Amino acid sequence: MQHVFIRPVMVTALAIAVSDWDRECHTMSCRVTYPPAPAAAPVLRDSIDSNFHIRASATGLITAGTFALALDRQCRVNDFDFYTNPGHWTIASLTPAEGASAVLFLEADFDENGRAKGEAEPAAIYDPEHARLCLSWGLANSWYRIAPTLALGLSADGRLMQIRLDDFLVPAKDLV
Amino acid sequence: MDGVIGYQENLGAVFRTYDLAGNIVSLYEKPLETPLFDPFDIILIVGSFWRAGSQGFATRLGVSGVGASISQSGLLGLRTRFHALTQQQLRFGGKPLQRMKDPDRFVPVHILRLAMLHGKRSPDPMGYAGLYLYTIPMKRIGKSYQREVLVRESDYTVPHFLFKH
Repeated sequence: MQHVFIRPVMVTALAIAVSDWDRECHTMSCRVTYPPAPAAAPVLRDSIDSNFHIRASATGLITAGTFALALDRQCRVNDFDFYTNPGHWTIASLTPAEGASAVLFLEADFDENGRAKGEAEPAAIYDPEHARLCLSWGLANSWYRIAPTLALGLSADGRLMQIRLDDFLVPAKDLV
Repeated sequence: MDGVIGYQENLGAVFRTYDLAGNIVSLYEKPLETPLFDPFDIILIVGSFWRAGSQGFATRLGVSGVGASISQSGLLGLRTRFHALTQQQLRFGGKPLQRMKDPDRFVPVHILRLAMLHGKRSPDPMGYAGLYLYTIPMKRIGKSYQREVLVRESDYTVPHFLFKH
């Protein structure tokens, strides 16, 4: 994506990504859960938020066509979904995305409502043999793995170019 | 309920009240002399009706609003129109339902219905039969967006909705 830049920070503990194909809604989705951060010293802000039931708002949402990527408060990938038609996907063999384990922090031009615009929705390439899905905005130069089943591909200047999901099963009847 | 159910226009001593679809609900002109009982005594419940220039308050969602006055019959008319708008049952698929439960992604159902009433209807861009995409311009905190609602019209199920630039 032209306007979504990524800053990787290397880690040893990977997040967990749970992906799903919703046949009824024709939507693929993925939610990422990060390992808990080391316990920080309690701060007054957290105590006030807790006592007054103040909920932290999400940081932002990046949309590109019917694709939407939501970030958490730390600007990490929280979840994404894509309303799509697998019958239009390109079927091809995909090699595993080899990359360093990292937490990726996304930067985009968010407006007052926390919305940022990507360009067109991604092209989808699916490898049914390996149950591997690639959402692509262009060629990726480097890869970072944020979960055992989720890797992001970046361009040379750090823009988000590809999302690669492993263990993503779509029934064969949905691919025609 | 934290939501706008109508709009009021004030030109001099004439008050026009409109429902969400822009249809006039009531027209009132203040008399030259103050009546014994002012029909504009009623201050609307927080979130029921807003009008610029009256007293300010904040809703549960923390949105700054301004109060308005309206006659009892005008309020009843607005509520009736709003109730009529909500009569078409709308169902949600699993993913949209999750979004509706998320305060950051939630959209009031009547806003989706208004998009279906007044939006541009086109076949589903993904090519699924029986699905139609309604698009309509919208504003949120001064920013312009495009509201999208995808509807399976056979049973009024929403498999996808979004607002974006």
